[in-house]
Amino acid sequence: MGRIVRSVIRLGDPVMFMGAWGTALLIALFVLYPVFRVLAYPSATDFLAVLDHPRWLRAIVNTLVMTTLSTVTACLLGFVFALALTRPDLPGKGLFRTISILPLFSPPFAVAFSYLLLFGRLGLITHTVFHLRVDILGWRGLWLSQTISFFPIATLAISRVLENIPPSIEFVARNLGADEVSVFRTVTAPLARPGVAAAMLLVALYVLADFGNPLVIGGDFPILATEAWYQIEGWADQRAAAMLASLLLLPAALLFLLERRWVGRRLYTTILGRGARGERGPTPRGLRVFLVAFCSLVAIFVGLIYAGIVIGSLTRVWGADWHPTLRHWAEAVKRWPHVQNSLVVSGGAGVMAACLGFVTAYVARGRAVAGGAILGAGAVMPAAIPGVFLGIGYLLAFNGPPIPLAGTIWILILALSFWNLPFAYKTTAAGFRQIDRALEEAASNLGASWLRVLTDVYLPLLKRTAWVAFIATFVNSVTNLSITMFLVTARDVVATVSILALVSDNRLGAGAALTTLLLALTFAALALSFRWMGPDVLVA
Amino acid sequence: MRVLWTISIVSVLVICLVLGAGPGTAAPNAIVIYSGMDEYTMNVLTKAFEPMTGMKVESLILAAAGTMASRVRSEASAPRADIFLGGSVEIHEPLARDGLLVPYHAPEEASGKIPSEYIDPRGLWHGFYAGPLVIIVNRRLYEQEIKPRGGPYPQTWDDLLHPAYAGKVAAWNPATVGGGYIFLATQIFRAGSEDKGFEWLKRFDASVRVYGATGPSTIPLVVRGEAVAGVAWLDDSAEAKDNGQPLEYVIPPDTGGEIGGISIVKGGPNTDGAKRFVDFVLLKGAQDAIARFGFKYPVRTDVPIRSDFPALSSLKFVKYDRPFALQNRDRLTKKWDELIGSQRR
Repeated sequence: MGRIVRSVIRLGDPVMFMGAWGTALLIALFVLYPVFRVLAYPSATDFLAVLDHPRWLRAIVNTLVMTTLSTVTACLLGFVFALALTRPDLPGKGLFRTISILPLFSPPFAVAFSYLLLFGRLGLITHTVFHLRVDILGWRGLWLSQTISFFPIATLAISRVLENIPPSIEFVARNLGADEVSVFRTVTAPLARPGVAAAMLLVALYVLADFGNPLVIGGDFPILATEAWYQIEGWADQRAAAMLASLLLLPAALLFLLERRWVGRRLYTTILGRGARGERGPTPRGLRVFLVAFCSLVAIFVGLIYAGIVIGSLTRVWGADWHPTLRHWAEAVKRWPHVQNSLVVSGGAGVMAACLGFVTAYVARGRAVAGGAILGAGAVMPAAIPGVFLGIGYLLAFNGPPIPLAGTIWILILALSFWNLPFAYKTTAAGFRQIDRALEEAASNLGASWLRVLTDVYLPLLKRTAWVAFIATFVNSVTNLSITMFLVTARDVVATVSILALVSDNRLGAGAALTTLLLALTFAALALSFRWMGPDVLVA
Repeated sequence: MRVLWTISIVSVLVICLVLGAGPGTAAPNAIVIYSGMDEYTMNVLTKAFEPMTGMKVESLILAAAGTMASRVRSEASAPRADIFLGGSVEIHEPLARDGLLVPYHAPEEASGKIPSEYIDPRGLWHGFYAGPLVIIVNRRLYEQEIKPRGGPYPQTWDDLLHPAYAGKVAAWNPATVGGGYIFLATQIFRAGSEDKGFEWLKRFDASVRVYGATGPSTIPLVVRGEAVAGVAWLDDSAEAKDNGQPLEYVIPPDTGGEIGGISIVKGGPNTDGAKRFVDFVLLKGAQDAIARFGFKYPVRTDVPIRSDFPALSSLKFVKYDRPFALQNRDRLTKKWDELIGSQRR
């Protein structure tokens, strides 16, 4: 037995290559193939039709503008939160951490409805409290809601990198006479660059493919992702829809190339393992006041939105009849099996995405394997695909032989895990980038196999990163509607589909109750895992 | 060593899962329904159908008929549904044209109790309810914003042209909502010619605050006060009102309407069962349930309508030329976008 193991281990790199091929095959099968099926759907003339439709041309421009606006603001917000969360001496950090992940749970419809309820023409706050008449429908409201929806992604990606910047370096810079501003400018900011770039790329891709927010709050403002969905829902016109969705892939590819130019070429090596950390010094007073004030403001805003949902579930008619009632909850509890399905599917997707992200990042990292970059590109691709299309692509690709997955719960798990692969991959890859290759080389020189390097060097250092990938995927999957809508079967309906059924029946109260139930459960799951992994797991 | 153990355990688990995850097949005596109709009515229908036939109904209910149609289309290589139900026949027609549906002539359709406009001569879809377009109104905002400025409480489509309504009406975008196109076509048929119809739509545009991009979007806009009045379907509006939402609706004269369709998916697991379900929804009892709980007009002339609805004979529908509307969809929506949609802001 021992001999076999040793000879397997001696294979070393060939095994790595097999891993690379295996990953490539999986990505080809579960990302490229469904995408290809969607792309092959419209004909060339369908593409030419764009020039003929002024609305679609406007949609292209709007998409680019909104992506720029929302990405910048979401990343700024995310950066400030990341700064705050990585300071050990900030009051209210626990609260800010909770707030910074809350919008990740943003369940479809409910949040944007809550905006309207609170800030619309007859909004509780704008109208009833401040007697204002604001116009939130349209691009301004969209900008706001996208910023709030996506800043958690930026916070997660950036804070993990900030956390890994050894305080000793900043300390040294300070000792050499640098003031706070130049420490930030010359040490912290450059080292945070991979994290910021990863965050911007990810956020931009999410904004690009976002359709929940523009659907509810965008009003007339056409955006490619929603425009594609309208073609399906309004006209059942899959050709036009597939064509519009494929237009999204172009800017997505561009973003990916940009990010590689910006981060990929340099080595950002800071940590040598846990030992080199040290304690972060006290936060300068001005910064502390700013961080607390800023984060509190955002926290109040986000808190209000979720309070709106809870209130909605406990009052008779959302926004009109404020008498308290429990009947929406009775309705929601009846749908418990749907919630159960959600948890099973999302848990499976989370595990799978975390494993896949880890393996892909390991195989694709640095100069390990030729074509690693292509692998990386493949892993990030799903972020550019609107969920609706991944859903349709999966249906087209896996409905019959050779891989008849449709009609089983597996098609949901696979679709959700590959859809979330970009985040899992990017976070893990950024983690890998921060670990000095010398560690691996040292281990190899001492005779460790690739497997040993993986399990004894990388796994312990990146355990938390993998956990972040799991959590993010889990949460994203629990709240996903765009994919599940196409892949659920009559027997395994998930909670979001159930919520949509309620919302489109105009039973918003019951929808809000079910949403709250879903939120409470995912939070309970999170809280349990905090106990297990330590409270700082989300910024690790 | 420990790692090898872990790997082998994980791979065994994965193999088990893959083997256990064969394609799910429906129970032999069941039918699968993709429904765009509301859940309550579906439940009532299911509870009546199951004991009657001994068949089980597995339904996926999502009030998003276009999405359901897209699913039927995407699954064409191995259909999983037997029945596609709900949504206007405009959504069923493309599926029919592409050969994704089974022709069937239900006995009830030959009974003379169902007017011919609800029957597809090819038998590919079956009209099983009807519903008019209505004007929805937020009474409180009307009193506050329209009445003081001399605007009429909207009884007709033309009332919405009054300057008091400027920027206060929620309509649908015909490029993205099926109902929006039916509204557009209705105005063309009402005006008598395409040019006059577009002239009317241009004037109407001044009243529009937002062209909602999805079917259910206008009701929440009016309920939440983002608009004073709006365009909506009768069944959605009546149901919202019944749920206690502060909403009033008016069925204007010369309105347009939808015909709700049900069709049998070609190659579904249980086509014979599907035929029995189509027979069933056209029966008197089922039609009664659809009318009562679904807030719709039944297609059978011998089924009573809801007591709070005006008699169908008292409604004045515009002469709606469905074939013309179906054929000119792309051209007219594009024209609308050029003349109106792209001129906004």
